[in-house]
Amino acid sequence: MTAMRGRPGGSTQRLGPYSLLWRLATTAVVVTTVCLGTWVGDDEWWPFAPMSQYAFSVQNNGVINSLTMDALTTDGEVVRVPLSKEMIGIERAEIEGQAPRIIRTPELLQDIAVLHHRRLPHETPYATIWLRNTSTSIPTGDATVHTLATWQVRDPLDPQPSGLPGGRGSR
Amino acid sequence: MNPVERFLAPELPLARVAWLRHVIYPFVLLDVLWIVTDPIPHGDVPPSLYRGLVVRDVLHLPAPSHVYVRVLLGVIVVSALVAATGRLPRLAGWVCAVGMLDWVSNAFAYSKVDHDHFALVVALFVLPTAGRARVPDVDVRSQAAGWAVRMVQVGAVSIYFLSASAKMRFGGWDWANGATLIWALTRRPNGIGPWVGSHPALTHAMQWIVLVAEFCSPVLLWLRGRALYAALAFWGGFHLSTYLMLKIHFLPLVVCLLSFLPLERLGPWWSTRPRHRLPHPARRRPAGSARPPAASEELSSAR
Repeated sequence: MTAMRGRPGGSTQRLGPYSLLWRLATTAVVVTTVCLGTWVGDDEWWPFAPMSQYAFSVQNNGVINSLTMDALTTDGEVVRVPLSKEMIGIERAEIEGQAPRIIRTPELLQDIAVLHHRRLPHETPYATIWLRNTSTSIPTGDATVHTLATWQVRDPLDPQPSGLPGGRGSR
Repeated sequence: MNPVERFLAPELPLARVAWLRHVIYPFVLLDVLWIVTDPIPHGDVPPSLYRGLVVRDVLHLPAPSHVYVRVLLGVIVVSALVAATGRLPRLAGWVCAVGMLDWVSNAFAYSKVDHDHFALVVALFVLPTAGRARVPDVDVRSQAAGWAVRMVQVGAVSIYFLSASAKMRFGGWDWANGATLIWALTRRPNGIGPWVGSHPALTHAMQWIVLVAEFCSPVLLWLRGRALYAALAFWGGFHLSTYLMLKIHFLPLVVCLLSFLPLERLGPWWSTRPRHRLPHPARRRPAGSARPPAASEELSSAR
């Protein structure tokens, strides 16, 4: 695989032709794929996905959208759903990425109730869950809240998964 | 060697690979236990919210479950610990690489994909290919080591350069004059972030600096000496500032920037520093003898 060559004060290990060839080919494939990932690919291409964090443009006189999730507990109290990996186990950015699915199929919010029951069993169960968007105007700072999806949790005290399909093929 | 071979598989000291292993594999422990901890709670998420990735489908990696993610964590921790010592570099390295591919792709399989791990994933897959490497191997130059180091460098540069490309694709040519940084500072305010966000001209200037630097980042692959150190210091400062303003650190990329540094000089420097040499009379040279050259002094470049 490698050839040793003497050198004053040390030695050199050169690669044989085949060892060199597969390495150069690997470099070409990796560089080409990662470039294509950013130029024409999407997030599903990870680790060759577009390097797109903060790549979108926000107009100086535009609005900043921020999703939140609220819930009515079985005690009748309205609370903010703690969207974080430390608390409920899924992050706000992940919900934002799935917002179109949730708006299309609000039943997915049943699985938020399941996750809450599994991860935070000491908290009061959720009876109703709302997905909401807060639009804040950059020039004025005025904020407007819109409800995007609503779900009445089935069996709030012991919620069961929706059973909806996941994975890349699911909508 | 032809120019392509000299550029992509230079003869570099095996010691640099040894040092990179001593840094990157411990970082993997930090990563799975402190930074990318999502996979553990993802084990409790119902499958309907799992979105998957092409790589997980190709490798037939299942949707995470409560037990699966904990076993995976154990495999990664053990393999990283072994690989960090330099023992079983191929076996432990490959296991760690595949384990991390599963772990990080799990974290990104729920509709939130970050791009800070590309260089680290590349590093984990190429470091085992260099085979056995020890810190004292300063004078053993190896093309296999050179290719592995070069791939890590290419991975790091790819992140920067393609970040600029993505800004043009998704944000358009007017991205730097927009309010993306203000948007980020509004959502993730930290430290001086709110003050910076209240000065639009300042945020525009920062966006221009970042965009130009990202587009120019491939020069890192050719820079040497002080120019290279200055460029690395700039990127280090950039990542520090994003942490101070937004609590975004990009450490998986920062650790890969170390591949640009002549880490192999650390061993000789450590063994020849005065405090280490003086207490041992046996190591003193007779008066008047010529000082032998430090093993790595011939390395004039930082590459």
